[in-house]
Amino acid sequence: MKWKWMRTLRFKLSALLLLFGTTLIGYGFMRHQQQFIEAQRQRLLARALAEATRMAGVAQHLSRRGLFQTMDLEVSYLATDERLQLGLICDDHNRITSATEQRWRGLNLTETPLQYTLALVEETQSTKQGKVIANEHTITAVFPFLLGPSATKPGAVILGYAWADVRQDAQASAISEAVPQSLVLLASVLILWQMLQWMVTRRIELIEEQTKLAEKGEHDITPLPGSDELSHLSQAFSKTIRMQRDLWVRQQPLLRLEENVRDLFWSMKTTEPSLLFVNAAYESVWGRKVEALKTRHWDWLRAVRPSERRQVLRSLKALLRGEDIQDITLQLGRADTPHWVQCRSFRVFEKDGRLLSIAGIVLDITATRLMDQRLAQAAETERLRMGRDLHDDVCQRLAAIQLKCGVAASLLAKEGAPASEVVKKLAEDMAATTVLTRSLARGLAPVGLDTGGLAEPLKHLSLLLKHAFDVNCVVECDAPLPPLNPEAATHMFRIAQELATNAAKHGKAKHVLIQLAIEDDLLRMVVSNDGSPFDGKPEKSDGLGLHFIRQRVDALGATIDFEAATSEDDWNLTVCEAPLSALVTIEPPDHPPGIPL
Amino acid sequence: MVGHRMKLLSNFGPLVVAMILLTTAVWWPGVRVPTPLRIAVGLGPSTHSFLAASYDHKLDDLNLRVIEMAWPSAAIRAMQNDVVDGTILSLSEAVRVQADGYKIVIAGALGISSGADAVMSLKVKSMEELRGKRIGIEPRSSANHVLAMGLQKAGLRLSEVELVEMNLPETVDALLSGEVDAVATAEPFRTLIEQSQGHSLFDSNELGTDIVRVLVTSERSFDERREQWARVATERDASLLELSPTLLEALARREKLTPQSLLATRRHQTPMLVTGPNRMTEENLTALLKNTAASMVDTGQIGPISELPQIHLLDQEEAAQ
Repeated sequence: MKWKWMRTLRFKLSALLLLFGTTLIGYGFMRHQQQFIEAQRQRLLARALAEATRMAGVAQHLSRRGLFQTMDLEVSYLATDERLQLGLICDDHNRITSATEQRWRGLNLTETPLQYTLALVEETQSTKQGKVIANEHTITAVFPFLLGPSATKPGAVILGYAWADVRQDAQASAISEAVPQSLVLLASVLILWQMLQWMVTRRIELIEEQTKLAEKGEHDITPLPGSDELSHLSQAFSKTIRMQRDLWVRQQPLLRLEENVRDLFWSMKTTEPSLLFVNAAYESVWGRKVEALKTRHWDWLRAVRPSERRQVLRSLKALLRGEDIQDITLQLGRADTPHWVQCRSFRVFEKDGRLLSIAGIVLDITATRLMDQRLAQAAETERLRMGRDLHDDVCQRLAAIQLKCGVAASLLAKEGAPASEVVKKLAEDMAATTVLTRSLARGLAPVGLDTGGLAEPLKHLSLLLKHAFDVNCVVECDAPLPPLNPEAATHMFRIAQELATNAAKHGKAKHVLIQLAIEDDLLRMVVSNDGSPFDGKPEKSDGLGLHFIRQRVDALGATIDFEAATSEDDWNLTVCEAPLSALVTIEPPDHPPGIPL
Repeated sequence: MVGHRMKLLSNFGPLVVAMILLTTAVWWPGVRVPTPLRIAVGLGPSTHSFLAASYDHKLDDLNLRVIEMAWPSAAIRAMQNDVVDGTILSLSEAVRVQADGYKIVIAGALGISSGADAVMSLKVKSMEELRGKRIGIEPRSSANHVLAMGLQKAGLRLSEVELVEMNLPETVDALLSGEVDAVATAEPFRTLIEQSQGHSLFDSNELGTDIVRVLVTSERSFDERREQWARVATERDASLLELSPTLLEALARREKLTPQSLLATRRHQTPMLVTGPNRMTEENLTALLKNTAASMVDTGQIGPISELPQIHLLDQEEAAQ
């Protein structure tokens, strides 16, 4: 790619050094110029002071002795100073007596290039104090002395130094410093460029080659030697590849297991309910295509019946909130056959304890569930048969015996036999037994369930409890219930029957309250009793009665919660909530109709 | 093969360039602030051309610095100590410098003394009368050579007179004050003495050889700044021809003369031009140099000399180009 090299680390580092170095050299160039100019200025000031002082002393001495030719020679030596523009010696009338350029000899100071010093000459002659003044272009030193044999007349030494060109010298000096610095900088950049090539670029290329080998499946990668960062990187990479290889070897049995197991394994992100992983059993257990998950992360939820989706999501939220394990049983909404799965979901953690993902196992329990259904249906059929038998046979026989006992009691009473009272009492007991037996028969074969009615069977249940256990049972229903499908009605009735009977039998309850209500799209049934509080957790009990209750709850796709009596509330509560959608579906009855009253 | 070379170039090319740059940096010359070309200039007609060129700003671009020194021995001392790069000397003075071991080059011929160097007196009437008299001389000047030659012609030796050493500018006062009976001097002091009723006993016109004033440089300066010296040697010629009144006055002031007197001094020297009949060739100058050196040895002014100053008349070389 064009200009690709400009994006390399090597170029960027070298360019950075070049930029940094250039900045430093530029700064040094300016600093050097300023320092050079200031140093030259200070040096020239010192020189002007020294030369003018010396020359004033010499001029006074030579003037006193009349050695004017020698004075000329002394002045001429001043001209060897390259910075001296003009040196003059003038008398008390400002007439030039000696000069570094002798053409000015005899002229007045005002006729020379140093005419601007006239005021300064007069000032120094009056104060008898020499002075060195500097401006932008010149440095001028004026020092007075006494002229003539008796040293009475004032004279002056005037030295004019030019230093305007010192800026050019400063620039030349700064350039002279900057050029080798720039050469060293360029050389450094080139050396850095080459060092980066050897020490970084080439080794990174080797690491790239290692990466490509790893992509091709090579796992025996020789790392870069050395102990610098790139070597560490290469060594770590090589080690990771080896570890990956080891992990792969260890994973193979698990992968084979995952491919061959009939249960579904899944794993899900914690940030969204999209599946990270499902094994091959997903399609057979869940009934959806794995491919669909790639484009629709939520596709797995489509298999769940709409009435149960809330339960599923609630379960996932519970895990995210901190619950360790969630167990739910679902009837998947597959069109072909009823399909039940049991899901156990749990949380997976990082080494440091952070939540990594949510995973789970899904067992296909359709076969078990169908077996349970068949068993339940068989039991229900048997109950009905027993109820009918009780009603049609035993109750009739008991009624006949009751009549016979009545007749016998009347005959004995006419005869004045003392046993007439006993027989009469026997006839009354037989009547009570007949009522009880009939109630039991109605309990085994409730009337109205086959048409989806629930109120009537519950009413008969309350009578049974009264007759059998002397328990006051009340059934409350806020509003008329819609007709339920017979199977669902049977499940709901049996659940209520089991709970109420348990309360009467084992809880020694005196009162039982059965409440039915419709809330949103749920049928809510609450069975309360004032018996002894539930022992432990009923939902975890191994009792056969509760086992059957759980089967029925699962069959309905319902939930059931137990609340034991407390010191504040002495009622035990059992709440069963079933989705109406699962209750009102009219399905043809697959069991014998109940016993009519 | 080509790939291998490219790889070598890629691997070591930058390092080679870096080494070259580092070497260049190490050997990079330090700051070179241009120094002016320094010429020590005394008095007399031979200096006029330089001063005129300088005063007229014709040599400004040369970064030329003219250091005006009052007498030849000061200029020679300055050059021998590298305070100046060159000066104007007579051939005899140049021979003395070379004899002292300081290597010089004659880069231009400026003029031939036509009486500019002379033995002057107030009372003494002839060279023969100088026997036993006090004579003021500057030992290293060409006037000393004139004195030696004049005494030789008069049948006298230097040892037969009393020599009083002084600087050339002091010869005027020394003679006028009677401190000495005669002086060996040169222009402009000859004219100053003549203006005080002095007269010449012997001058350069009476020598068997010419006293030529030449532009002398140190051998080092000549090698380093040959082009600048060529400009100096050439430019002064034009200035010599164009001496404006202003320049004339300036030159007269520096020699403490009137313009008329200055012109009188100029008559005692024949200028040597770059071109034309008055030009001096290297062959002629070499012959004069040899004659001068020989006569100086003969008269005991110097000992035997093994090497004469080099002659490279740059003005002639420039004209030839």
